[in-house]
Amino acid sequence: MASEHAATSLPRSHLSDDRLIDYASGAADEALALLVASHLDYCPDCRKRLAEIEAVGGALLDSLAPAPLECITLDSVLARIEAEETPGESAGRCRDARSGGRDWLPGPLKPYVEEFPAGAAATVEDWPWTSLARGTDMIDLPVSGRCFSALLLRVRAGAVGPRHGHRGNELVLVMCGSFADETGTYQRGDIAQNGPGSEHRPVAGTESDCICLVIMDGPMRLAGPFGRLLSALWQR
Amino acid sequence: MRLDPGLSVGQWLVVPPAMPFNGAMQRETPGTAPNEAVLNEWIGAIAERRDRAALAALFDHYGPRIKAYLMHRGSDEATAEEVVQEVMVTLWRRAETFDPTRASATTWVFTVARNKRVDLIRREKRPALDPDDPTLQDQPERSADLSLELRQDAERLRNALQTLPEEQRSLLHRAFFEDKAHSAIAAETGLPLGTVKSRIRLAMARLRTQLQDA
Ligand SMILES: [Zn+2]
Repeated sequence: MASEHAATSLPRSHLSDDRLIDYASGAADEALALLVASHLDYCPDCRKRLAEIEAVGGALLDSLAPAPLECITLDSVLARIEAEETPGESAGRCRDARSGGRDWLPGPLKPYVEEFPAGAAATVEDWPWTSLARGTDMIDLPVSGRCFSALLLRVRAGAVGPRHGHRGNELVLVMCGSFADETGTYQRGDIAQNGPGSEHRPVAGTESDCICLVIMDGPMRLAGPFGRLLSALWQR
Repeated sequence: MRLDPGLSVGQWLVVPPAMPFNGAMQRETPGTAPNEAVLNEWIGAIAERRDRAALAALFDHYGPRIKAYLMHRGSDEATAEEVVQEVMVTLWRRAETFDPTRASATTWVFTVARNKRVDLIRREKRPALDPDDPTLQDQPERSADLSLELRQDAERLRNALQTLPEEQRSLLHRAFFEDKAHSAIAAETGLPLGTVKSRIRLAMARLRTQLQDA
């Protein structure tokens, strides 16, 4: 909220353009943004200069060399819009899951799901998902055995999963929705296999969230921010 | 996780983006980029009649540029495209809040992309002024004139940017699009920190003069 004193006594010392650029470009950290936003609240002069700087940002954005889009399309944008505009059940989520039933969930997996803290009656949204990346969540499944680990992976409808490679073997069973990567398109019941050295980036279909059962073997070696996150999860 | 730390477990390796972005700016030949009036029309068409062709046009023009912006600022490709998708959804849903008397279309798209980037990438609080706060309206009169003026300003600004000395333009570009402290820019360009800051300010001052002279 603007303070009343903004109108009565105007600031006499101001923020420099390079500070305002940090704020306008999103580079400012929380403390700087807090200070700048607070000064702006008092200062019409700096508000005007910020508007000019944002206009420069717009003109610069326009002059950037375009980076061609490789995963998303107008259709995936429209699918996202429709999913968000459709109230209730489908809403881009796994429809079966949302309507209360879990018909898509294979019987052998049900005992594992019933072990989740939220219990057997929970919807998929209530499952204990851990975010891996924007639009990508996982749940580790407690399994014994020294070869494979198991997890549930969910990629939101139309979302682009992280590009990743494999040190070992990965087997992916699609249970709900679909995904596509460099090796093909996989739908409910399909198994995608990725061997050591392969590399891919899954993109979920737009019809619903894609939920998969994933098992993996091989030594755990992770790289990059996504890998560090996953490593951190493993250390819990 | 309930896994024995000594156990062999599966893994994913994140692959870094194939090529670093070099920050090159593209100089478009006049006529290829939609002008401000056209951009205003596209946004207006979405606001008034949910025009999908207008969204397609915005997507074609801005999608790859917003992706480039995100990647300049250090996002991986998948995250960049995810943000592009979010920005497009926001442009669609908030088209009617676009006020051509307050900001030009390019400025509006830039601020939406900037805010989405901050929301999605950093997931931290970023204190910001509420631009819709009625007590902050510096320009009480809203008129078609003002909107036209802003549009012309935006066009002039694009041209003015092209006439800046190369060094100033590139410093401005870095300040806006690379997630680097000014001190890092100073180290890379070999310019003292004070010089980097003063040249950025010089560039801004020059742009302002050009707008006022017009
Ligand atoms: Zn001020």
